Amino acid sequence: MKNKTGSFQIGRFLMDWGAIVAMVAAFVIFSVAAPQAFFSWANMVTILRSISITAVIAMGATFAFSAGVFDLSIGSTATMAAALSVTFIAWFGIPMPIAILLTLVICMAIGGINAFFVIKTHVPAFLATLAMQFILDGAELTYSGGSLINPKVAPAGRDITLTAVPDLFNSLGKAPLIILIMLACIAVVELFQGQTKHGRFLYMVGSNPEAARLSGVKVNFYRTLAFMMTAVFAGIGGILIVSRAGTVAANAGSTFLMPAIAAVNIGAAVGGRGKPNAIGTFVGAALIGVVENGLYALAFPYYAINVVKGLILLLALVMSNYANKEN
Amino acid sequence: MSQIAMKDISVEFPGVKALQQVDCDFAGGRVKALVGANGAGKSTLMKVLSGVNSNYTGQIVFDGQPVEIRSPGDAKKLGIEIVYQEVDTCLVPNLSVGENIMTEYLVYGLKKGGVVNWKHLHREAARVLERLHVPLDTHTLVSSLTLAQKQMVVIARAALGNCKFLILDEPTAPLSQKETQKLFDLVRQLKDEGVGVIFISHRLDELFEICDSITVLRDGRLIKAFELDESVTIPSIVELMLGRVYNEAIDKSGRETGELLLEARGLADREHRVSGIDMTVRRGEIVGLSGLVGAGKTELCKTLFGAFGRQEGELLLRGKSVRVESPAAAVKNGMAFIPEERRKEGILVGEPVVTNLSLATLGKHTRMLSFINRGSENRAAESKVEDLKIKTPSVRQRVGLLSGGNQQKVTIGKWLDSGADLYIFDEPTKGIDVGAKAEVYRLIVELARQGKGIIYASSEQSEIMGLTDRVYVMYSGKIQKELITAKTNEAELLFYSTGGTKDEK
Repeated sequence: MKNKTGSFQIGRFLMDWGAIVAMVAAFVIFSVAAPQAFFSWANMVTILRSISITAVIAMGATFAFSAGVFDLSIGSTATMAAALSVTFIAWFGIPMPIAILLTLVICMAIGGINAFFVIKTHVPAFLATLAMQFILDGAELTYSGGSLINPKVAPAGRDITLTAVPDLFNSLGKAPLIILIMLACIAVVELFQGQTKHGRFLYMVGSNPEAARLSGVKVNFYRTLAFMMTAVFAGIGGILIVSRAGTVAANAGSTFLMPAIAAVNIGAAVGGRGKPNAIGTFVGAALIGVVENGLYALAFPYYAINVVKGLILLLALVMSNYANKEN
Repeated sequence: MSQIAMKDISVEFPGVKALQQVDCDFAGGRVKALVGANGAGKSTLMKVLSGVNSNYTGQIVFDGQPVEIRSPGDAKKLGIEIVYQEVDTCLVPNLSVGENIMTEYLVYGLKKGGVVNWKHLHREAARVLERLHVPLDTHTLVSSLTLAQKQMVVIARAALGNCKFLILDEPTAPLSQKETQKLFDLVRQLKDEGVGVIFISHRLDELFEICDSITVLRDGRLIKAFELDESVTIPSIVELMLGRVYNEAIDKSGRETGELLLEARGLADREHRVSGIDMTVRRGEIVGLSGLVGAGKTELCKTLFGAFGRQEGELLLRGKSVRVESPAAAVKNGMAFIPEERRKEGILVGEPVVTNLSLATLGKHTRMLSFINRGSENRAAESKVEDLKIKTPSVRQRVGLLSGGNQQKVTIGKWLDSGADLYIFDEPTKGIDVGAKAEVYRLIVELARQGKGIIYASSEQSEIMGLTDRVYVMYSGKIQKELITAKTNEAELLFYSTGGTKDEK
């Protein structure tokens, strides 16, 4: 009997702190296995930088998951934001602050459209945002004329006078600015979700929408808010993508969808909070970043890394759903 | 024709004697009504007969042979079929009518290789539908049928094999009058074929139309079994159902009835679950909503609270015409709602007590930029825990771990500082123990003393009699009758609840 409680407590501990334990373990293993390539200050900055886009996009996904909805279109929203922000500057000569603002407003509208279909037409969020993903991918390709967007090269067949992209825009995606932006996003989201009334209601809507509604909480308002915030953070992530890479490839944002969703689900269990949250999500993103970086340092074949990432996601989902069941 | 005699049947659950030495006979070609108040043992008896409840003592004799019915399979072998009220749970919506009727063939009847003979399937299904005069195409998807049609499909499936006895558990509760008539035609058809039908219903007026005999149960005992002829009246059946009822008096003193708080004129919800509602509630007054399960009490509560969206008709609060189109608007207009499905609709089971208690009033505990003031939130929660005597180790405890009564106090507690002056309670004592019940009653009276208006919906007549000042009796989504509690009795409540009207009496 005593033994049983003991093993239960170990299980509980692993459930709550497993992500951090795993990260520390991965860190130690990689440091020993590849001391030169992995264990260096420069590589630490590289890891932080590489996880920052995932983390920012994942911050958005915490909103959707908190409110009990799902957004598959975040990767494509990021691609769209990347394309729009850089072309607003390069093709149309719009000043950088306005270009960024405009991009984020458009992202917010995309979130609003997702919300409309999910709330008003009762399409399951999973499917509505899957459709939105295709629409956005197609729209981005149409907008770019089907090719890579390079702000230094005018698109084929269009008469456009290019404006130079300011250095500040390009430095957004590089250390240290990108890391600071990530930390700012984490802080804002953590405060909003953990400390404000609206954050609380988001969770309540996700936890039991009918009880929340019958207590006077405006459930549809908070669901809409969740979709919009999700899309805005995806948009910020998209701007960082183009700022870091300099160009926009057609699937630039899609590669972040899976790690972002994994990060939120790993993070939900961290510290026993049992809910999607900003700090946990950052831990999740960091775990994925450390593992990915370490595998590169060990010269693990790059084409097989997705297998590892997929396994981490699966493990995270098992953990968070198993924990829910226990509740 | 077949005969069943149930003799000396007893069923005991931990702490409850659900059935005590009940004798009951059923005969083929006859329709027998089984009536009783909630908890009288009707369902338990039928669960024994259909093999769902194997834990009985006593004897069942089928055509002179003693039989053991210890599983649904045993019952089926004897030709005893049961159709529950929730027909949706036993149909597959994405399959056709034919496939649903022929489930048994699809599961057990396929030859080696598992190839479905579709022609056979639809022909057999069509044959049974034709036999029962049910005009349905066997290729229609069940998901596109109305509830009444689904019921027909379930009955047709039951009648397919060697069905000798058919139990219908409150089949008419969700049906319209026209649909009910169609169902009765079907029952008559089965009766003519020699099937014995056992008919459980709360709508007493219907029994006269379709049943040959009646058995009345109360508190797990057989009260009386007799032929249903012209000499029998609804009030006499009601009397048998109720018997003598013990009722603890509730102290309702110290209240003053004040100004008019709520007035509804011809109120209805968008889908007319309830309609033509005229009602008033004054300050300090406890107004009951009586009626049987399914009469529309919950629907009326939710309509008033805006939970069904747009309302039709007129709603006046404190003399002013208002539109309450969402619960949020209702809360803003000073209404509070304690719903029937506590765990699903009232509380957030996974959240701590404090979060639940501040759910409706979180705006009061915020600082600049809507940052939550946790000190203030905790203080308010702790004072509510003390006032309501909520038994919990701390306000951080998850509400799901509290007892039903304490969960209900949390549900009520979240409204206490919301400034609401109209409280709507929907079956608030459902599933909580006697002690907690008394506390809930006291709490409600206390709210009324403070000048709040109370709407109290309950399907237990004794509760309505003990607690309310005035009562609206509901039947089939409408208010059947308004009564002054002091000038009525349980029999009269039940009379109107079962669809009675003045001239019959």
